[in-house]
Amino acid sequence: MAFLRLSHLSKAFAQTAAVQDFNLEIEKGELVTFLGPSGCGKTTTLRMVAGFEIPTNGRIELNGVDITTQPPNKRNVGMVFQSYALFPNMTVGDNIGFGLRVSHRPQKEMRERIEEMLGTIRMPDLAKRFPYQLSGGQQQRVALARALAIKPQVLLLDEPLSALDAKIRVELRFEIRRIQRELGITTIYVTHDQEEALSLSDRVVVMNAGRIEQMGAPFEIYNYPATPFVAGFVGTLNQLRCRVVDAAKGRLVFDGQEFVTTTPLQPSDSSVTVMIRPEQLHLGTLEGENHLTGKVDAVAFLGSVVRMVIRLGESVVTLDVLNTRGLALPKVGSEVPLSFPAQSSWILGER
Amino acid sequence: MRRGSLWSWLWIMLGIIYFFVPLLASFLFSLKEKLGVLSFVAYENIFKDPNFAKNFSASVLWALSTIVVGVVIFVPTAYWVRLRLPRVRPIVEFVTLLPFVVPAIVLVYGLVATFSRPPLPIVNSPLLLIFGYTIMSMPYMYRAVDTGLRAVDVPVLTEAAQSLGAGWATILLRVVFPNIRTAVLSGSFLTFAIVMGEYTLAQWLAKPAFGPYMNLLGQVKAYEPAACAIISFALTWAAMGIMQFVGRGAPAGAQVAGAH
Repeated sequence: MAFLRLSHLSKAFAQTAAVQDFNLEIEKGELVTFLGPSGCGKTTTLRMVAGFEIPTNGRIELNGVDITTQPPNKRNVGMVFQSYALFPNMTVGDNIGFGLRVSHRPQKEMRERIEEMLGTIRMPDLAKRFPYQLSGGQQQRVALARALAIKPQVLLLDEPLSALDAKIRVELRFEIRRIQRELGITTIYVTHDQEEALSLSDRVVVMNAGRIEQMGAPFEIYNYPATPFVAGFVGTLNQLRCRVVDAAKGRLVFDGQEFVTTTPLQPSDSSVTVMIRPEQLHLGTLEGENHLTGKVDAVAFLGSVVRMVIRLGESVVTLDVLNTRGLALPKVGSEVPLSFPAQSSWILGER
Repeated sequence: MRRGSLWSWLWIMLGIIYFFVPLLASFLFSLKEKLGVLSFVAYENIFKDPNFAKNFSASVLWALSTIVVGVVIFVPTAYWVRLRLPRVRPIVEFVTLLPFVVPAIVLVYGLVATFSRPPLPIVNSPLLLIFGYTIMSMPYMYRAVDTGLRAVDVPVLTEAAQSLGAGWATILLRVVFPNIRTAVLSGSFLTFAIVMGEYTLAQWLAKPAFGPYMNLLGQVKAYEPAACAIISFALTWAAMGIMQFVGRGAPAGAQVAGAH
């Protein structure tokens, strides 16, 4: 029995369907990310779980109780917003204690809980501060503490890090995961940032145009995308349109250059689209691998990796090289050899 | 000095003269009750007049009641319009401006005609006066509240409070109201100033008030009405001054925080 179960959930605004036939079961303590471009319905789905939107169809069950139409203030669901949404008139302590005050908990319990939550977010001495005296990262920590103080059954995070600086964002990402693990709280995390989704989640639900495209562990989503959308949205992917020369032996031709793949090909196919990740390609001619030759179109230094765009006839492929201090970068316009192992290329939908 | 700024100074001086000379004249006149010397005898006479105390305190009572009724009606309304009915905002704004267009005498005729018969014969009750004042203060109170709400992210704070278990009353009292306190205060002071000087409604609904008292005084005395005008001016200015003081520039959050 799943802890949180969304079945056949859909939501329409006026004429447009924001979410269609959404089915998901989340186990207790799991962190599930909704990942997708803006307008894909991820936030709408989250808001239905929070109770801010009533589904047009379908059912939401939390711990065996149907909460589909229950008002948000009766759900015991904690929510963290992109804009922090701290109460500007209250101190950090009062913000964290708000939920307990509303439910008329005793003063002593409230004080202890505020203390405890301040410890959890590692801001023990800031109870008397006001939100405007805190940095964005600190404010979001307080918002997290406030949501957790009521011991919610589910924690919902709506793009919580999108308004923060890159460095703080990564820091806080791990902080959220640590706290979530410590408390073992069931969590839904909405983001459009694939890196965030992949690094944070037990499971990722990739959404597009109101539907689930694919769900699975980050490893699975990245390495085995099920649909063209997922393949294109998660990570960078080279899609090579190839002519099949010999299906049985896996021989293909791309831009007049032949290579082999271990992925099974259908004898009936005359052409296929072969996928390969940029980090699977490398410069040079390695023994026992496929070789292609192309011209360097662009070189972008990204820090830990160097990303190159290589032109092969009509198409281009992207290639990532890990940065080292001795690395010699090829010149734009120069001809370079590429190699990749036969087993690193695959065809969409193959598992 | 540049020509442009010379011109601006000229206009400012003209404005000040236009505004202050009559005021100064009234003030000087009010001091001339005793022949040949300047004195505050007129003011003394007013403060000693039991009718002054009666009418003045009545007006204070009307003003405070109007503020309470106005806050209770307009804060939730403006909040709800911002939260759930943003599309009717232009209509609501138009309605709140109507008291500027409808003269007080028309308003009072309407009120008398409507409320002197069933189902709500409250024409003799002070409630009708307070409700009338509430309508008259609507442009000030509603707009002040609405402007205050603009500085607060109403929908998100509402949802944050809801997810923490708060109902509507709690949200209004603990989240919305404290964050627009300054705006409500400035609306209240404007309302206070308007009600204290109002004449038509109180006169026609036959209720004691400062406005009709001043009018009556004008018919029977020479120097006291001028003194009365100065008193009422001072009162309005005091209200404005307090408003300025309370609403001094700082960001909404900081201000509320400072007042804690």
